[in-house]
Amino acid sequence: MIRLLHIEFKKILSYKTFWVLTAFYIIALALALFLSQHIVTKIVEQAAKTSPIPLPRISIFVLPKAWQNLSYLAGYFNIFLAIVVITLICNEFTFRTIRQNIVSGMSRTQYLLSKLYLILVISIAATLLLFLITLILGVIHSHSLSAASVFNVKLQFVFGYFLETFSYLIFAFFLAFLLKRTGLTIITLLFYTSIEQIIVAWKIPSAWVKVMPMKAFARLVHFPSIPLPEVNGQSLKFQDYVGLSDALIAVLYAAVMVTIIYLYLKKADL
Amino acid sequence: MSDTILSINGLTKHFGRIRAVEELTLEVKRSEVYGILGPNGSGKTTTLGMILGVVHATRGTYMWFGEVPTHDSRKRIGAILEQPIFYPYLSAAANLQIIARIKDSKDHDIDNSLTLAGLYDRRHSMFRTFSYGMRQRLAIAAALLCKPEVLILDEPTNGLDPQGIAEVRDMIQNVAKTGMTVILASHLLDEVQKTCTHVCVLEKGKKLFSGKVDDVLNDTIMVEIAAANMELLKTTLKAFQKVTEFSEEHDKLIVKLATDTTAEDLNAFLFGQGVILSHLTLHKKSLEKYFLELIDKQS
Repeated sequence: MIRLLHIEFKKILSYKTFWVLTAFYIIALALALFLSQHIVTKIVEQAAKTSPIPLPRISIFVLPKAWQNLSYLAGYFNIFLAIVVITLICNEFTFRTIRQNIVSGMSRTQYLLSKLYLILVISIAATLLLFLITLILGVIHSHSLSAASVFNVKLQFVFGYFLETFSYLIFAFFLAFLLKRTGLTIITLLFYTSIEQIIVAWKIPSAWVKVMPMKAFARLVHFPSIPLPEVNGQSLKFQDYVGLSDALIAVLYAAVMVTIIYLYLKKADL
Repeated sequence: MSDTILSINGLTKHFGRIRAVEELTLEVKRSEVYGILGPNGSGKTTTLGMILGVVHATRGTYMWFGEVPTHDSRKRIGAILEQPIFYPYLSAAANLQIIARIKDSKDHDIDNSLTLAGLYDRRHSMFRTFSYGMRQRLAIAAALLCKPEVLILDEPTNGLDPQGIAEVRDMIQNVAKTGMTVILASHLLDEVQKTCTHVCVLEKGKKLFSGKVDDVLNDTIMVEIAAANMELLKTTLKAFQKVTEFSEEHDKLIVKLATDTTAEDLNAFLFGQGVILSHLTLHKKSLEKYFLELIDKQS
């Protein structure tokens, strides 16, 4: 594993495009998370002017709730990571280096593993980044800070974010492997994402929505509940935990896609 | 250690209806410089692709070092398929480091390899910025990086200028002198003649001939002769200085003639000595012509 990761790191260490894309991701994510409170407050203030009921002040950064709030937001930036993964995979086909890697002495299984390890490391790094940003913002903005509010059961959302990122990046890997062209794969991913949103919006049974790939990945971190006052005796409440069935569906998707890539790679002439 | 480096048995590859390689059987022994000669599209690269694990054979088998091949056998081989393949956005040194890590070998010296390839000053330049000749030299340096037992080169002089061609051929000869086995695919008869000890000629995926280069590709003429009195024929032949060697085969003699001698000269000499031939045919003489015709048909 270490040797395969070494090879992958060597491939990206002095690859400028990789670092530029990664920098975009970090800057975009950090900016969005740091500014999220400001933006939400503005929106609530606007809405309060016309709202018939008084709107509460929403504090995004207060721990432990911040774990879910920021994990949810961070999910929107995974497209940057998907582009990184797609670029790295498609390059190997465009420049035929996958062929030279095999000729030099990698087995096809090792080749697949090296890419899976890389995706795993990228997912872990993104999760750590989210963890650190949330921790910093949380510590600054939480009035009563205790170990219990930091290392809270809500930390499960950070794990949910990790699983979301990993399975989504496996999906990007899968598309890149099938299509082999960077531009084509990115456009297909964006196109598919919007098509799926249209289908989901089109009143299909909720059991189906659960298993649509993009939705399945996103459902790992649900939209955070908003502390609105009850309207007609009903409060607006969303799922406030990482669902076991949601996690299983995402893992299953990842497993099926990796299996297809494996079978394809075993059979293909490179 | 086994003396057979590579044995190929009935190797066949069909791409749909195209028969790229058909029932190819050959054997490469240690320290041979083995040429695979054939016009473009004759199945050379497909054959190399199969024995290097990137193309799946439709039928047939091959063995490296007398063993069923795995990715580990490929670590003992240095190979270039078609054009030099590297990560264009990485430096020459980084590209070689990747190969050394894939081969999992400590036995390499990247700076020295780059120096030998004349690329040491450009070791931090991206591969993308290299000229064709530099790319080819880096590819050869990469193939030789971890001291392989076999070097496989596919059209190594393609696209090089005359000086580059001479350099590559010198390099092959130097490598061969160290005892390393070399497999060289080429469409250039002249290249195979100059560098190889053994040759296999492919046409449309089928093997036409194989054997020692000296036997099948040199300029000398070979004739098959017979006479009523074979003993007299043999003693007379020994007296003819233009015969370099001869051997007996099925009641006939296979005679190798010196380069400036024709079958007519031989016949005239024997007739002068009172030996009348009952049989005379040109034997295998025209492989070179045959090959050139093959190339001509292609173009």
